[in-house]
Amino acid sequence: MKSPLRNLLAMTAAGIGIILALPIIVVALPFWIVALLTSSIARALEPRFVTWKEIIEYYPAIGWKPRPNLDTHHLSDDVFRMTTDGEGWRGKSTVSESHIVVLGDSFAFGYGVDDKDFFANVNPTFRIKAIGASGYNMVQEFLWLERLSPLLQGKLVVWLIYFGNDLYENLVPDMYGYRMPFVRQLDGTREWEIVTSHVGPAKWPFVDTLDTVGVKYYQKLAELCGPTFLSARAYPACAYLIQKGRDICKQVGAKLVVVSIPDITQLSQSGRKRLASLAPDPETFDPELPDRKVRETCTNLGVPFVALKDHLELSDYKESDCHWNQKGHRRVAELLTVLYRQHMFQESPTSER
Amino acid sequence: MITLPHPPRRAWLVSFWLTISILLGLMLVGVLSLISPHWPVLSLMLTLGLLVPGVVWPQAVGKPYRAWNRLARTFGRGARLLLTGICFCVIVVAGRTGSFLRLSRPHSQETLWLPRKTLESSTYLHQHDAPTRESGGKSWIRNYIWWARQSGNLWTVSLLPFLILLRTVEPEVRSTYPANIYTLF
Repeated sequence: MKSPLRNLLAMTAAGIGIILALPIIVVALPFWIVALLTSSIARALEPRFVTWKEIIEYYPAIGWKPRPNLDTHHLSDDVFRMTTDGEGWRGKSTVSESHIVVLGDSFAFGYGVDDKDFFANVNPTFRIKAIGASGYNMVQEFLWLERLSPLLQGKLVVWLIYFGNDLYENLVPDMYGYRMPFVRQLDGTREWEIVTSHVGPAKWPFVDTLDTVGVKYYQKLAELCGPTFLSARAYPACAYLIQKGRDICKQVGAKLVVVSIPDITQLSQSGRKRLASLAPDPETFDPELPDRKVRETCTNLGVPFVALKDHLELSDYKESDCHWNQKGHRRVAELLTVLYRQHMFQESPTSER
Repeated sequence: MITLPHPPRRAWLVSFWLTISILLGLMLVGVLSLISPHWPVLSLMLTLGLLVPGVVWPQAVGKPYRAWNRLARTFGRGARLLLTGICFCVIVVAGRTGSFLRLSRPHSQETLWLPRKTLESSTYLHQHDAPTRESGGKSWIRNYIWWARQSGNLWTVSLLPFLILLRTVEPEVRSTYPANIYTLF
């Protein structure tokens, strides 16, 4: 008998509760209507965008590359229109006809901006070809440099190094399960080698599933800003790749310039504080260390180096994404023009600023 | 369901402004048509004028968009508090008929051990001695009713209207980074 009585009491209480909840329903109505209409109209206005999987394809030894002949929309902080050429690269120019070839990751790919705002398309009289894809590490970029080297004679090659993940990911075999080439130190020596033997289309089985919002990368960047085990490996690995890149450029008669891209956290006081809080030893935390180390490497190798932190500011980055906004792309385009004039038409010091 | 995504994309800003302008316009037309037949035309023109800034400069709509969202979140907080309060009252009233649990002290020599049968492996995550089944996002109401019947807690169905209302006043959660930057396999 307990159950029917309980049901009856609960139903009665719920009936009174519904009467009490009526004002909530009335007040909520405008919010529901606005939310419903706004989302319906937004869906109708916004172009259909494709996912990351739809814009890349498997590529032997390198892991992945953007699909060729894309003309589609993709989503970062907002929907952006992107096109790729017959090889899968963004930018109107081709490698052969370009003045500058830019190697890099998603920054070189122009992630998050429309074609018209992409740094390689900003100045139509100055031809820039960007060879880059989202998630690339420096090893993948070097392998493209090697493959494209026959086309690079007389060109300025700008190698973008993003401190947010490039230095760390040079040492790991996958990115969120996508297999990618990496560098490893030969046992008992100071020599390094590039490993591609594991690269294939299948998912890498050992994926760090805990990190999906980039927290891991900030921890790694914080480790790179101090004397840690990671930094003791990451900087020599980076130096190895730059040296190999320099040698290839020298062989084919191209000029290599290394340009470092700071993560947005490195540009603000609050960001640096956040990084320091993630560092294994906040006492030895030095946000300038990545630039200093790479500059030192470049100076030793006779490769010009530019730290973009001296040229960019917070307002050049997106608010809710780690990439550059339209203004940032314009600044980078201007800087590339200056670099070209400096290094292709006159003698210049080996290290900038 | 009552809040709008944050940070907003361009299309959402435009869409929000269109919605607000159209709703305001309709209200104006309705009210002013009662006063004079000429006023609705003027209010229609006003509405069109109001539409322009949001469509041409969506970034300018950022502030009203954020303000609306703040208002919706504040309302949502209050509504959730009230609705959970009502749910609590319903549970208390139902509880007046007694509990399945033994809440009194045992007599001396009396054991409190109860015979139990083995649970199904599917109940491992929900060990309330009732069978469960996979619950998809959309069919949760059906699953909830099914669970209430199977577990002998039919009275909990009376909480359903409040649970539905609670769901609609939940704020929208969105991570800082879009999920599909590097979608997994």
